[in-house]
Amino acid sequence: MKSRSLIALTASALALPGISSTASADTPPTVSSVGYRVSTYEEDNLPEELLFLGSPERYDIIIHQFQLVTPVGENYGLTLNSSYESMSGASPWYALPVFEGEKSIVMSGATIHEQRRDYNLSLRRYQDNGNYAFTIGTSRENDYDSWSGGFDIAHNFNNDLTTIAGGFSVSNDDINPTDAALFNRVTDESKRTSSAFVSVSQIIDQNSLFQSSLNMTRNKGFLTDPYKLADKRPDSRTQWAWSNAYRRFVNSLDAALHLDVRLYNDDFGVNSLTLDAAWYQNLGNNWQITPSIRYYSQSAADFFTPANDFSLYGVPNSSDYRLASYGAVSGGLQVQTFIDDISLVFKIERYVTDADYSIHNGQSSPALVNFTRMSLGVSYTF
Amino acid sequence: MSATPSDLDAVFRHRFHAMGSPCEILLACSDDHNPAIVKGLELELQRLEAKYSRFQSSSLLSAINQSAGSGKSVSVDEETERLLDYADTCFKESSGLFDITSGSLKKIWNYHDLEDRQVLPDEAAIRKALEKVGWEKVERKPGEILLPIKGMEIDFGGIVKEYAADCVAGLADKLGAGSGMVELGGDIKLFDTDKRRSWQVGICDPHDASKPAATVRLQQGGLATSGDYERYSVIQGRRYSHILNPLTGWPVEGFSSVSVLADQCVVAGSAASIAVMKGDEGVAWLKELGLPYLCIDQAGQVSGTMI
Repeated sequence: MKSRSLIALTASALALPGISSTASADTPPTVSSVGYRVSTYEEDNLPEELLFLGSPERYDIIIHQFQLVTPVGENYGLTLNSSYESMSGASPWYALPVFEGEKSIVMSGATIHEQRRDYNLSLRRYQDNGNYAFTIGTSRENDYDSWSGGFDIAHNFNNDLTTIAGGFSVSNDDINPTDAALFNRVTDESKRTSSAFVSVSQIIDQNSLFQSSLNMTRNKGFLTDPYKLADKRPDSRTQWAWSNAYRRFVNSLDAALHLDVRLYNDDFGVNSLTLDAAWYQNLGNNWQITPSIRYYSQSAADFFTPANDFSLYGVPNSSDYRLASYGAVSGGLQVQTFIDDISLVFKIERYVTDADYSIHNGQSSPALVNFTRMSLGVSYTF
Repeated sequence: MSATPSDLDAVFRHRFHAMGSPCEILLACSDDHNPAIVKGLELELQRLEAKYSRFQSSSLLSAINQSAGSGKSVSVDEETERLLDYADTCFKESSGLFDITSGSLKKIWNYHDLEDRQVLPDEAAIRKALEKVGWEKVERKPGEILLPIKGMEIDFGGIVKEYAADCVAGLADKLGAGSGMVELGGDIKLFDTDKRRSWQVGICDPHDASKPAATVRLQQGGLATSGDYERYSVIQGRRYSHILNPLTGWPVEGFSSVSVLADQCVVAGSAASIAVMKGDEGVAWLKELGLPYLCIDQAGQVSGTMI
């Protein structure tokens, strides 16, 4: 993404009558940067009044992310992303049918300690009127191995004011749950995912931008959560997402408004709506503060049951709260500062879910999760 | 600046003087060139000079400046209107540092005078001059401009010469001049370049004119340089830039020279000017823009992404 000042100057220059509207080349990164970010994600514990059996401590995750961006030759840019995640805690194992006020959630027996390592490498070629990139990635856990590859391309036209882009990616996941024999879990399952997107972005004027994109993802294979008892999901899933973004810079306030709307639908029967608003306020002396708010609502999957029905063996059914109908509201605050070549950013976000927040149909789950996320990042340009 | 095409045998080179600077048009053509094309390009420059020169009393710019304080607005055409819009964008993006109404400050910082007498202008004179500075005071309506204060002046320095390079290159494309470049007093714009052809451009070392500070190979776009390397004065043993900060009224203390590469020479020019005006924060500005740049500091140290 070009700098906002550069967009303003270029848009203003292109309005000059003597300037011919020759399309320009996309420019690769001219400097290298390294970045590191540590985030903590803490789910609130399950309320004691719901806990029937197991540990009330839900997931706590610490994520370390590292990024390197560097030019390669005159026309290429290389990006390496890696992350290391360590999680501990328990997740709902199954839910019991209850009468009002009774305990219903059985958490996974022992507290789980897991690590995940992710590596992602992308090489982007910059050329006249656009750019394209190849990406490969791998993700490893003790019970999970994933490979992915992708390609995307962008083309600028209309004096660089319009960009159309598209891409596709594929991935293969091998799933080998731990303690398979002990809990009668599956072994050697796999899942394939293919995904494609198209998008268009339009610079409306020197201070505003609109982007719309459509994404289709198809999963095939083992889509069930192997760690949940009596969880059974269809072996294919087709997901559609339509995302729209609007950005507006307000000169008089030296601030930028970001608005995002996302509509989602899949053939599990989940429909969702996401609304995001953020206000990027520059404070001078290289400080920036960004309050943000998000609303989310989804419908339940067709086969969602708030309580596991153990008579439904082999028939799709799941008590996973992520497939329930619910709504969520989250608020965040980010503070960022720049000192010479170093940028520091801190963000805190609080996320609260409730069945009543949903505008969608379907049954909700007693195991909805609330969480707090904090992150601290530093990046250095050289 | 010096330039040569890196992989061509013959170059037609036309040197002349316009806009107060030595100028050059280079055409990469081994066979006969059409002299009418070169003449046409020179005429385009003369057209812009006649319209926007501060020194020609018949120019549109002089008419605007002479009307200052009269209470009467001056009609401006589409091209001028867009140039004023561009100046407005530069003013906003630089938080008021790039201000085309800074002209009256230059009068009190009359360096020949000051150098001879070895004195600095006094604060009262600076304050008085600053009253006539301020783009926000200019009144604009569609097709009209009014300078409300007598003595207020517009100076398109940092915009018009660079814009002229873009205009000449655009016209060369329309006339089918082939591959080439135009250089107007250090500001460069390439035209009709195909990918096999690049031009080698040397950026002057302000501290040693005999060798370039850096050499860059360009395939397209505009390269502009802003700096005080040819324009500074030493008063009471201290070096003063001829680039003035319109907010304080004092010379800026920053890079000796900043060169920027952009698609349009006019964007490169204002990006470089704003970087010099920003002093210590100039590098952050250049990095934020993401354009290739080269800086030379007062000690002659070269830095940037175009080395």
